[in-house]
Amino acid sequence: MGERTIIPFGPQHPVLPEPLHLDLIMEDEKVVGAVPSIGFVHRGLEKLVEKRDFNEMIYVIERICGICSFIHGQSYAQTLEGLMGVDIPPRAKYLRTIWAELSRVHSHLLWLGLMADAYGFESLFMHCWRIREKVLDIFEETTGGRVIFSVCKIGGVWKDIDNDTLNRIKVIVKDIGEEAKAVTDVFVRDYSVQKRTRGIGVVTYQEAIDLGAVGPTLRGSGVVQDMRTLGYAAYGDLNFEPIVEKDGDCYARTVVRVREVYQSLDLIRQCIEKIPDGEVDMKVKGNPSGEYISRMEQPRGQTFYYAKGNGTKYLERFRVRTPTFANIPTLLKILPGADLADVPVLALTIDPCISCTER
Amino acid sequence: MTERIINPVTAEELVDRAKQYLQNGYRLIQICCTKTPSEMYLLYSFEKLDLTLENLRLDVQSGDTIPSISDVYFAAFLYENEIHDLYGINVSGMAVDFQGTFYETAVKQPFNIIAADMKE
Repeated sequence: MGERTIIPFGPQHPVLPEPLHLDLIMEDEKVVGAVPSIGFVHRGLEKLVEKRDFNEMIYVIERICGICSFIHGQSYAQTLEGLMGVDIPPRAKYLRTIWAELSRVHSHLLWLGLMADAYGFESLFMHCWRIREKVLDIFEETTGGRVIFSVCKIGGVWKDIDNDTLNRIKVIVKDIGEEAKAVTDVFVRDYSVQKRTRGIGVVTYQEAIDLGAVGPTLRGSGVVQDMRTLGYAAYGDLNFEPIVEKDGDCYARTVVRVREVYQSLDLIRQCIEKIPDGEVDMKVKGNPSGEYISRMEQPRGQTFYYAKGNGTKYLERFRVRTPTFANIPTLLKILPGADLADVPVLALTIDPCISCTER
Repeated sequence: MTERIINPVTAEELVDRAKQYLQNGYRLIQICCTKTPSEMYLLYSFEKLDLTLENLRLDVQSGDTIPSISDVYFAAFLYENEIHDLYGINVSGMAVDFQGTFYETAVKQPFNIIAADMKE
């Protein structure tokens, strides 16, 4: 047995500029254990609901994270709508789905860029982010914001997208798909990339279930589960199947995300073709009472929202279980046995979002 | 929450009930703590791969010690450490016990203290 040393990974590290700290217990170049620390930037947002009107709170919730911002707002709105028995207009459901899937595209392209950066493909990193800019431009044109949109409200959405703009978005989305092809081919086919990802950080089917993995981390191990199949928003009207890869390694998790980019682009196209005319919001009266659970699929996986109202304008309890939190046990499983050089890639393959985790 | 099932459970029954869920193909997706007018309750959420969701509700008092279910569901240690650090509920037998350092907050057990303030 080699001499054991502890290498602190984080809380600030070039590959993960978010405050996650791991004490890596090393034997020579091998990781034999990992102890996580989180909580460096915990914001106590779950507590803030007791002091903020439940309608105002949506603007706080969508600031949980810049990348999942829209879907956090959507999840909160959907939870409160469930709590208050509100069925929003169909057009609003489609608009939410379009913005949510655009969010997934930009999140996955951002992640692919970071992954390229992690194994030293700087040019690939920049190409991923260049393509992502087109998605941000759509956000800016349709909502006024590139990161935080503030377009979701309890009862629908604040803004409509006219049909001409939607048709133009359909063309842009097609272009994004064509441009992305050359880039994503590198992740799927390049020899060097495969050397860094194939057979590394394997999570078996059963381990992924037992460890509570979610999202691409779960589906990369062959488990068919996607919250969108619950049929919330417009997903019940759309034709899609969860994307699954079987190998459970870094490569499989990467390929799931690559394929999900194209799946999301297709879902946006379907939404634009099927979107009904009509109102995009409705008046919601009264205050929430009772409790409600909502589960949704963020780019990183399942998010769990729980809200408890007491008939006042302040919620009594609000809970967000984010996908990164659920994927931490999986990260702790894949690190032992890995080479130190693979740690950045392994940490990235669960797509950790500490911003979401420290809500 | 008509389609959601919340079953009450006692601290003594908790581990056995968790085992039953495991045997029936459920996995743990979260544990959270919620205040009530009397004290607090824990909500354990279990999910099947077909997305069926069931919950256990365990009433607790501030400072109580409850058994960990991390022997049954390893991932439970994260939620249990969180509940301990934020609400001050003691959990015995956690698979990984951060000894109160999982969330290093300026105020110890911040959610518990505010809950106590509200009761006064």
